[in-house]
Order: sequence, then C-alpha cells, then structure tokens
Amino acid sequence: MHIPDGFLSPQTYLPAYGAAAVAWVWAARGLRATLDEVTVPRLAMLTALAYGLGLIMLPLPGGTSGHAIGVALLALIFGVRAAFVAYTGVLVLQALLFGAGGITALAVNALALGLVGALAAVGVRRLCAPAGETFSVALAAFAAVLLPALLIAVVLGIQPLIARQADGAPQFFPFGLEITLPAVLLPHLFIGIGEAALTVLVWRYARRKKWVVA
Amino acid sequence: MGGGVNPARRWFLAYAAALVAASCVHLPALLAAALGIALVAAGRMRWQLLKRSLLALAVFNLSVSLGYTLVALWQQNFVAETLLLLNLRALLMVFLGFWLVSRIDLLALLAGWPTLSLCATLAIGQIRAYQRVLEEFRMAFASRNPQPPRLIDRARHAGTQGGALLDKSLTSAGEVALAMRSRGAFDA
Amino acid sequence: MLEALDLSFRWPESEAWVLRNLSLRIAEGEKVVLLGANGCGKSTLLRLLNGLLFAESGEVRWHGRRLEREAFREREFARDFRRRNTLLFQHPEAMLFNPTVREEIAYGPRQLGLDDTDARVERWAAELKLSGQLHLPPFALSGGQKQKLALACLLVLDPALLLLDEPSAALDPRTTGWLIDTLLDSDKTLLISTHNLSLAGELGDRALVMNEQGELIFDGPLAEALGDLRLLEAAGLAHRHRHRHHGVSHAHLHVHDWEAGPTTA
Repeated sequence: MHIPDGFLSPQTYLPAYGAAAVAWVWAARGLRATLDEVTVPRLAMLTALAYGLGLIMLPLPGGTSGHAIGVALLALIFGVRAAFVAYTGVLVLQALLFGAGGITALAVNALALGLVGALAAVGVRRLCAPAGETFSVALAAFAAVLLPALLIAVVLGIQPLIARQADGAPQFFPFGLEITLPAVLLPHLFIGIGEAALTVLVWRYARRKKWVVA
Repeated sequence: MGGGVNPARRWFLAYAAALVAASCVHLPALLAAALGIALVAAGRMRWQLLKRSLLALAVFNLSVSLGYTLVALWQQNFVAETLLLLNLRALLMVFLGFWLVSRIDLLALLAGWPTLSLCATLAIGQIRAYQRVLEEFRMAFASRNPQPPRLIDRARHAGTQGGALLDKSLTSAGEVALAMRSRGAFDA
Repeated sequence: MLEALDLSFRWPESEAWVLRNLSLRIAEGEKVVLLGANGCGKSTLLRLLNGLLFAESGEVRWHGRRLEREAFREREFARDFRRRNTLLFQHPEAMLFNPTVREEIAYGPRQLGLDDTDARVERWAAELKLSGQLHLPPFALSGGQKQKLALACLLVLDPALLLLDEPSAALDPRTTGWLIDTLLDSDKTLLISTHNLSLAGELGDRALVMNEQGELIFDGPLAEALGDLRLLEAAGLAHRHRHRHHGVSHAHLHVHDWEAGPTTA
C-alpha cells in the first residue's frame, strides 16, 4: 500500500511532513508521560514487531497472498501513539536500511497507515465493542486497512489537480479520483478481510496468554 | 566542542535536497541528465544499484504506465512525455535512495541522538531475528504439507507467526531492559 | 533411499559456501548420526535433504528422483515425498499452528484424506503421552511436550525417513531419555543431527561428521568417530582448555562426555 517516491508533488508531501511532525511530537509526548526504563527497548521491539508483521503473508481468496500490515494489532494492544511511532520507525528503516521505501512519501504513508489506521482500529473497536469481541476486533482491523487505503487513494487521485503542466498533463501520479478510488479500494477489500482474520487470530492468542485484557 | 555535520548526515541532507529538487523539475531531459550524473557518480556499484532500482519499481511503475497509456489512448490525450517524466523521476529518486543506503550507515546517521541510536540498534537486531524465525516457520509449513494447504490452514499459520512474533517482542523488551539495567545503562 | 551428490550450497546474497562438495547416501533402516559444531551447516543440510532448499551445485536424490523445484510442482510427487520424508525442526514451535493438540496431530492425515485419522491421533497421542493434552492449544505445552507433539505430527504419517535437527537441544535430561528410547524403538530410517556427543553414542551405528567449513570429513562407524579425538578436533567437537587434575593445572585435547566425565586420548 505504500506510495513510492516520485508520485507525490511537493505541494503534497511538504505539508504532509509538517502535519506528521506535529503528530510525531504529540505521540512522543504521550509516550514520554509513561516513560520508564522499559520504554526504549519496548519501542524498539514494537518497531521490529511492526516490521515483522509486515513480513507475514496473508492468505487471500483465490490462492494469492499479500503482505500483512499489522497496525490494527499494534494499536489495539499497545495504543495509538505507540503504534504510530513504531510504524514510522518501520518506514524509516525500510527507506534508510533496506532502500525499500519512499522518503518523500514517508510522511503521507506514516499518517495514513500509522496514524489513521491506528485511530480507525481503536475507534471502531470501542464503538463496536458491544457487538462482541471477535466482531469488533475484526471490524477494527478491516477499518484500519480501508480508511488508510481511502486516504491514499484520495491523495494520489488529487495529484493531477494539484500539479500539472501548462497543457494540463499530470506531473506526478497521473490518475484522478475516478480511477484511484476503485483501483485502490477494491483490492484492499480483500486485504482487509485477510488482515481482519490475522488480527482476530493473534488477538485471541494474546488474550489467552494474558498479554491483553478485553 | 565538535562542530559540523557528520558525513552520514551530510549525505542524507544532500539526498533529501536532491529528492526535493527532482520533484521540482518537470523536464524529462533534465531528469535523464540528473540520472546520468548519478550513475557516473555512483562508481562501480552503478549497474547493481540501477538493477535494484528497476526491480523495485517494476510492478508499480509498469501498472501505472500501462494504465496511463490505456486510459490516455482511450481519451485521445496520450502524451509520451508524461510517461517519460513519471518513470524517469521515480527511477532517479529510487536510485538515489539505494545509492544512499549503500553509502551510509543508518546508525552513523543517528549518532548524537543516543535514544534513537539505541532504538534503531535494538530494532535492527530484532528484525533480523524475526526474519530468521519467519523463514523457519515458512519452511516448517512447507515441510508439513503433503497437499497444498487450505485457506483456513494458511490463515492459522499466519496467525501463529503473528503470535510468535508478539511473544518474542514482549519477552525481549523485558529482557533487554533487565540486561541494560544490569550493565548500568539506566544509572544516572 | 536418499543421497546427496557433490552438494554445495550458499545463501543467495552471500559469497560464503555453507556446504561444500558433500556426498552421502542413506539406506533404508539405517540410523545415522550427523555430527558437527554449531553453525557448520547441519540444519542447512537437513533442509536440503527435506526438499526445502535447493542447491546451486550438486544434487539430492530421493529414490533416484532429483529433488528440484519443478519436482515439487507435481502434486503426486510432493504429496508422497512430504508423507515419507519428514523433518523435525530444532525449534518445534515453528511446526505448530493448529488450535489444539488433537487438530495438530490430525493435520497431516486429514490432508491426505486418510480414513483412520482419529485412530492414528489417539494412538500417537498415547505413545507420546499427550492424551491428556489433546484439547489444549500447542502453545500451552511445555518445551518437552511441544517436542513430543512435533514428533507425533510426523510419526502419525508413518514416514519412511525421519530427519531430526538437534532434537535434544532444548530438552531436560528426563525428556532426552524419553527421546532416546523413542528413537531406538522406532523402525524408521533416521538421520539425527547433534553436537551432543554423549547423546550421539546412544542413537545410531553410523556417523557423518562435518567440519566448520561445511565439508563432510568422516563417514563410517559411529564408535570409530567418537573414539578419534583428532577427527573430533577437526570438527570443532573436541577442544583444549585449562583444567585441573589432582591439583595440577594444564590443558590438553579432550571431549566432554558429561555422564562419564572428561575423557582424553
């Protein structure tokens, strides 16, 4: 789902970095409030966990597989701030250690997947908790995939409006919303189902091991 | 007091500036020239970096390029220069990224920020451990399946991997903290 | 049954060879011990023999058929191979993914569509003393129980060959004793990797010894291998360190057999 480098205009990614910076400060402040000697190793392990979850192949209908995302799980177990910071860490490591990510797109990816995804997971879980644990966790994970996908589809889809040549030709991502919305959302419906299944399975495991309480 | 920016950070800042510059240039010829300069400057590693860049871009760029071509032809407003611009810019940026990674050590980049350095060091070590764990899970699953597994079995296997990583991360955090305390890392 | 011919292996992005020009042959009914220090490539060799990895140089043959990626795309071959050639991983957790112990043991027979799955599960749970744990999730078991469960998952298929990767590494002495008894009573062909020489002597008749460069440096009677200190030194399994005999401190080549105490040439 990550946006690679070269497809977002500076009119998009520079303000996104501004917004992300505010969000990072907010997250860091919140984490510092509970700072103890376990915090740094825990954040490091969470970053590694977020990275590792992204290596798990989700089985999807039709015999295909896709990479898991894992943000919902992180948010539900460790909270929005920790999930956001850990996911940012993953994006930074992917970009600067493995050369596998976009630096210009990092802020948008972090905000969409790490923050909106985490908020969606926690929000939906709370709202739907009366409907039962399995259902609310599954729906939370599904939302944590679809909402970021929607955001990314919108960000990509407005590039032809934001940045174009004198003759109207696009300078960055060339498709408008009428294409990006279905093109991004449809596959993510399947990914969301796979992610929901994975999150429920791991959540149940975490409950049985008492890593989380309901 | 030491002054100046460390070499890793200088490279990173140059890289970031180059990315911003590349996203402000909208002439394919200029981007091609910039890519040529980067290829020359990258030295012996240039072809390896170029190959990695092309592989990294292959799926996404091919689908975008194909999609653009089809849509634009159908709408009768196909502009070849647009295709060239998108692909050259993406290739240049990804190439610069791989080049940067080959030149700098992430931990050197974070030198001077001890909390971030520590976090990165711990995370990287743990990531490598998780990669080995997941590889072992993958092989064990392959070994245990005389028939192609059902969807539910693949899902259970994915869930087990997630649980194993969760276990390891939670126990590792505690153990690492203890070890750090034992070595005086938290002493004033 | 199983042979490796001039096998050399390295990981895709590495220049270093993990295994070099290794040739071996395992006949049906043999109980073979694969000896080598940590990191010498034993696990990698076992995975090659189990068709999980494929070498760029040399080959592995199973009943004469070359093990290569294309072979495993043939459903009948893959099905037959996975049933008859089984591998017990060093970390049994990697093998376990079903919700209960019962379903874990039943997994393989169910996949194969065997009629007597339930009977098989009951039998092997009883043999491996897991009958009281059938309803539990695998993660709730102790380390030794997980080892037993993983072994049950393989034995329930009635395989021809059991490859075991350091099976005693994480076991306490009692469970190790159980393991030795179970393996000795088995009629399966066994290839057991270990760096534990006191265990090795109990497990088989024949030894394959690897050095730390990934080469096979001995293939012959186990007793001969265990009695050859120079061989064991070359394999990184014997060492010299300072110790005392009757108040005198010195160093000489020896192995640690913890049951009998250090022995020397």
